[in-house]
Amino acid sequence: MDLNYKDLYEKMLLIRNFELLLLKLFEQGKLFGTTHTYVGQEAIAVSVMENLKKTDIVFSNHRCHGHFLAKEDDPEGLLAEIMGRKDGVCGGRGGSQHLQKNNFYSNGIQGGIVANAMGMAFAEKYKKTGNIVVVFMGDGTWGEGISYEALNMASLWEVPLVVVVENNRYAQSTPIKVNLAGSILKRVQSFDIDADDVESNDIAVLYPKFHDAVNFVRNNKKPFVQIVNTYRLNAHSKGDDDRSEEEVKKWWEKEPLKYVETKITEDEMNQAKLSIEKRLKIIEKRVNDTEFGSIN
Amino acid sequence: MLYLESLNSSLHNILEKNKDVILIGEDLLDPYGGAFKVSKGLSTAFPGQVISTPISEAGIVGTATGMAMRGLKPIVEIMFGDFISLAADQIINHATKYNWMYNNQVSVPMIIRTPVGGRRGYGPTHSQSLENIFMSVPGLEIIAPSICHNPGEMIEKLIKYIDKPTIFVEYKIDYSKQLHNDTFGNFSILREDAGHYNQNITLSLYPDEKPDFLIITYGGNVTIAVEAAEKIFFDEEILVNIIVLSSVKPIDKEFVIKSAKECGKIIILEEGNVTGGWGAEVSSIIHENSFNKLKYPVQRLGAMDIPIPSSGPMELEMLPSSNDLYLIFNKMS
Repeated sequence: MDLNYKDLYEKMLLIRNFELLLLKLFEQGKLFGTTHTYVGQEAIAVSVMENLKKTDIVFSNHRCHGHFLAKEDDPEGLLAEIMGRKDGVCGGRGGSQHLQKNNFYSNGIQGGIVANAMGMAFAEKYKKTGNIVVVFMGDGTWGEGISYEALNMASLWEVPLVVVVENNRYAQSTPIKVNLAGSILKRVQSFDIDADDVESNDIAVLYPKFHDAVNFVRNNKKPFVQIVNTYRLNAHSKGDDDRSEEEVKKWWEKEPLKYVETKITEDEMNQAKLSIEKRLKIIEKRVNDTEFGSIN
Repeated sequence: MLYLESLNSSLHNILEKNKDVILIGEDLLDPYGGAFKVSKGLSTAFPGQVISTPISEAGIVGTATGMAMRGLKPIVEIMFGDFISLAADQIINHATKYNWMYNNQVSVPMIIRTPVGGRRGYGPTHSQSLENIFMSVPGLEIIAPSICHNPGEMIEKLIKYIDKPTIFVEYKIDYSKQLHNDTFGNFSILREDAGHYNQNITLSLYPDEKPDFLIITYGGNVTIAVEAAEKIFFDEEILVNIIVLSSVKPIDKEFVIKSAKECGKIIILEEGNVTGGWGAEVSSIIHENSFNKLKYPVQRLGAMDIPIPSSGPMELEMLPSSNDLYLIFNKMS
């Protein structure tokens, strides 16, 4: 598949640097609550969104910044939202986990959004819009009963739904070995839902996977589950990380940006870095000077 | 017309006129037509609009929420009101959150219809009136038409104006009862529209006279209120007016305060548990706004704080009764 790696690199880098900016702002006491960073999983979000139409719908979870940036390309609206400002995408009401813009939605409760996304996919099919819905789950989400209720109905009613399972191997602090019996793939297959399982952080591998998944769902008007075995390189939220340094270090060697860096020139890489750095700097300054949101 | 017939025929009208309305719930398909037959005939007449589901209350409400967010108007049937607790997370953390949390950019126009209430011997998990546990959830409406209201007409109006998750409570004891239009026993029915679909009803033996007592209630307990009020009038010539609200949440404060100011002896009647119930909220509204007009502390009557027994006599003892009301009248006299 012929991919524009420079463009993809820039999109992934925007997510990476945005998340790093958030961690810095946290240390400076400028953010409220908490944040769940997407560092290490950037290739998934970009691969998914690059294969969608503007009118397609995305429902994301607590770890939604990467998904939002890849779909809406609005770091300013996102930063303002996370900083509780009136110009945030939800006027500062939703914050980090509760985003909505155009056809993008996210919510901070595990599992429930799978049913919501299922209903949306049903609606799009009923209205014959041709749109599909993508919902993001993690490995931990398989502990929630409603995930199974939703998959059962998605299969029974054949709705155009892509379920993306980002298995980053930890449900908050609990390793998958301790909380997930059997396999995610087998669970999905038991509903007679087509599924695929891949382990990669390489966009050259992931992009075609999602190209196929999206086309399958659009053409067949039935669900598909794409499992991606990946790794979260930062803490679950701001700084709660008890994983061994050695383990995390091993995964840094497979981090997603590295794969793309081998496919672009050094000039292209530096240009992308400069451009993202500049963009985020301007945004940070601008958002910092805006008003907080209002409850009315 | 029976309460059940009114709902069933209006659902026919709704599905016929509104292709964006989807009926979704358990066992809805004909010939069964829903556990209480409210959905009878609908799946035959409108097969694409009636979705019978697995036993997955959370999934059903979650699905309907997603439908509503994308331009449909789902009407969910939760087979027994007791099962709404299975969908509580969807109601509390999803459906009612989206509008405000997303800065009013999204709305969730969804009706959750559910039969509640006891007196049919279904026991602890199929007889409750759990609507009171949702009193403190922002962004949610709760409506409960009584047999003095017209439930069918109300749901037809509701679907026209709906813009938020709305629980539509039906007291299952009422399904087989005739609707009352102008009178209920010796009581005249006085109606006052409250918004697009709600109606505040006052039942009065002598509408021109000031009552000695006021009962404030909703839903399925009008019958016991009427029984007690008739008895105390014939026994002791004590005049009792009965207010029947259709909006459980929000409570029509203005109407409650106005009525309370006209009568200083008030009893609040509900079938849910008294502790932390709807009546507590109504009582607070009265105390906060018309305390100086009270002639007796506001009294509340509801279910006792134990599970609902299956055995008939025990159930009647545990739930509020006309005899309980009669005793309260005497205490307050």
